[in-house]
Amino acid sequence: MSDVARVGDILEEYAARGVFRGFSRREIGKQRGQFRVQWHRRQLFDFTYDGAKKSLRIACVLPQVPAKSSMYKEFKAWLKTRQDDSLPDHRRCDSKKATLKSYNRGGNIALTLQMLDDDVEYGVRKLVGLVNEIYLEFLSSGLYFDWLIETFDLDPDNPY
Amino acid sequence: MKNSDKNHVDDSVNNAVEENDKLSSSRRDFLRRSAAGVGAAVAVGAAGKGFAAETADIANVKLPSITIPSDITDSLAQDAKPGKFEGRGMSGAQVFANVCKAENLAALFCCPGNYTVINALAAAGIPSYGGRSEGAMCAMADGFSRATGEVVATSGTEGPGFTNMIMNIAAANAARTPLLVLASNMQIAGDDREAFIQTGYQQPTTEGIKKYGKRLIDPSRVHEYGGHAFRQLKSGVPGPVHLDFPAEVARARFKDPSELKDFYDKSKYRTESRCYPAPSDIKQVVKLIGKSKRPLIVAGQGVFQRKGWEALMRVAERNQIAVATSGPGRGYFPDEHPLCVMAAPDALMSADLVIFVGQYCMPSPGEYRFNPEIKAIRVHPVQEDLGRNWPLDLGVVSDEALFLEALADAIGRKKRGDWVSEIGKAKQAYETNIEEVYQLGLKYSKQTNHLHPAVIARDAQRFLDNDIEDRLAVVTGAGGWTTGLFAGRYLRANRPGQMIVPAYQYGAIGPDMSMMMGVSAAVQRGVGPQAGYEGAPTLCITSDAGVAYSMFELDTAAKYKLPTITVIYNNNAWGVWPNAARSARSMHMYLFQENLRYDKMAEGLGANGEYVRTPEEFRAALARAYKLARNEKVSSLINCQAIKEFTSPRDYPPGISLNAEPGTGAVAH
Repeated sequence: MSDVARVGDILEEYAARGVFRGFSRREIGKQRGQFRVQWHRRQLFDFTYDGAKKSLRIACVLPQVPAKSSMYKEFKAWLKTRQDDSLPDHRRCDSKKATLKSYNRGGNIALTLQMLDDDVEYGVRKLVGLVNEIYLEFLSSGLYFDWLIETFDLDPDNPY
Repeated sequence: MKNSDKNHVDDSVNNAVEENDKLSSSRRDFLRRSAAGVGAAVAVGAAGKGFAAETADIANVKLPSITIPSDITDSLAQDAKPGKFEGRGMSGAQVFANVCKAENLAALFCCPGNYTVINALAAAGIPSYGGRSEGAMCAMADGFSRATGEVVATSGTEGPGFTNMIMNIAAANAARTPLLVLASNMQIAGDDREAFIQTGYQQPTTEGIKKYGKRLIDPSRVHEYGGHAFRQLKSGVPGPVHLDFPAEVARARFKDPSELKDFYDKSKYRTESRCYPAPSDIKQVVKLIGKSKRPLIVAGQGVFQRKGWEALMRVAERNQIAVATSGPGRGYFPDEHPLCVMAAPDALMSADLVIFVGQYCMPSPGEYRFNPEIKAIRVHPVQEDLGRNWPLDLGVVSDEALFLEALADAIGRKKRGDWVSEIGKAKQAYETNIEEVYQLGLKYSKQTNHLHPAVIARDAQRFLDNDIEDRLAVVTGAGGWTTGLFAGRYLRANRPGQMIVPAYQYGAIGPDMSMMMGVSAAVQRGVGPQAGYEGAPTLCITSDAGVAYSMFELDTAAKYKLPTITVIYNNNAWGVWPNAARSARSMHMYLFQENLRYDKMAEGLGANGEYVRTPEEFRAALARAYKLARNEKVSSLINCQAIKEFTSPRDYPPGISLNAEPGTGAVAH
């Protein structure tokens, strides 16, 4: 089984278990695959796996966060803590196995996990876990409550 | 309590007394009377005297005092007189009341109306409470049940009384409260004629907010439908049962049992038999727990209602399984237990196996702060619900308490040092976080001379932990938008029934104060897990928006000597005011007059009113309120003056935020 297919199968498993509310896959050649999932706050997340670079990228993990905002600065700091040695193994993204990078393109935060070995499953699961923590932990701060409501057009009485 | 702490409290009280003496002659009068023990006149059995002064001097006009008339105390002292077939026979209402008595219906909360039925229930010996609005009385019934797990009843007159209850029936339905909703209906003979007033069709009105409902038609089936009602209330997943009594049923008379269909007792019309877990299911559960490194039990209200907390403790401690509770009640797994993750949200994300037991209102993945890899087992008494919302690795049909007992017997002892250590660190991190917010709250309170919600919540819990004789005695509950979110983080529950979550699932703003009065009735009667705490006050933290729905029931609390302390976060606005921030022509709809004196209103209803603006004043007022409630069964309302901007992250960071679920401040599931 190719790595692209493997990545797709792992992501599809989350959909089968109800973690993602929707899922589709598109393989582009042997080295590249695109996977779209519906998840937190009914957002669509586009995962792209590039087998040549061994990278898994989400084009927009958080929208409408200006590059010079304090929120983006805090996001980058928070992301760094996810590879901190003080975290237990099951919570840490091991810096020997993967690197994490964020980019800001016109306010959209893109997130890339670069795999440092052949453990594709580790990379996929860590990135999925990371997105989950962004939505359930990072965004739980009161500082971002208004941002959440406005950005995702939520009812403040039911902001999920 | 440390002596130094005691001195601190006493000094605070004294200082506040002096300050208040300067501020208000009426307050001075109150304190003098209180110190002289005049307030003791309202002790149980002492009719004729109210909490307020015998006379009040307002603008030189002598006014009569607020009193509890002897008509009330005499009525409360009457012996029960259940209906009998002999003599005039029994009315349909009396037949039904006797079913309720045989089923140990715990209490009735009502307003007048449905006269034949409520009079029959009171006469049958059901503890009965009458108040000022049907909605609030319905909430009291709900609160009573949330703190005890018992079946309770509420009633109102047909038409307006019944429809006034709707919000609170819906709240009870969302919380799966075993609530018996009774309401009279007009005569069947008057159907479709709009005869006189109050006609309506009740059952369609409660569609979607009840477990079972029936308009009684055939008088001879009144006992049979009593059986239907209690079978629904006491079996499976509970929920409201709505019976409406047309006059032809309530007033029908029966002189012989043969005139009633299916006139047999509860041993025949329902069963106490419960569903035991299949041995193969228990084996699979044990296997999955064995493979797990960081297992977690989410113990829902089914565990509380089935009184399964001792078995829960045995399971958790034998195998070092973390526990969070969910649902409208808290405390049946103590917050302070090393395996409790209620105040350890970061540990939730590490769990690799969750066992939902008695979680009636199921979240969907993404609503609970779990990681995407977590495996799930759900234990539920009704097979049809297994797999709803949350995909399962294993579903087990079982009674909650029986499952936990079976699991406790089957599971081996295991130490999970790393997991326990991680929970401990997560608790410490959370404590550090909420302490930082509290310190900011203190700073903001000092800057503005107004009380921040974090200060109210933390100081209230510290008072209960350190300054009263039994820190487990006081049952707490917090409602309102801002106060509900803040207080949830700081209030703690360490015994079954020690806390209720008024806003649970339905999110109603307003019933909280009434719910806590219902809790107080349960505490004063020592019902279920409240046994042994008779005499203890209850503490409700709520908002100025919410209190408007319930405040008049301070009269009811005074009348029945239900010692409640209500703390109001008075920010002059609905908590959701930021939604008008970018809509200039909307803001007026979100705001109230500023500096409203709810404390004065409370005094006018026979309660003690306090008005505070600083942490020191709040602590002193709380100490006075507790003393009055504990010693004299007098309720208090503490009006904490705040400003709405405290929830703005721009003005007063971090502003407001949602709490992790499951956890101390959870309201949704």
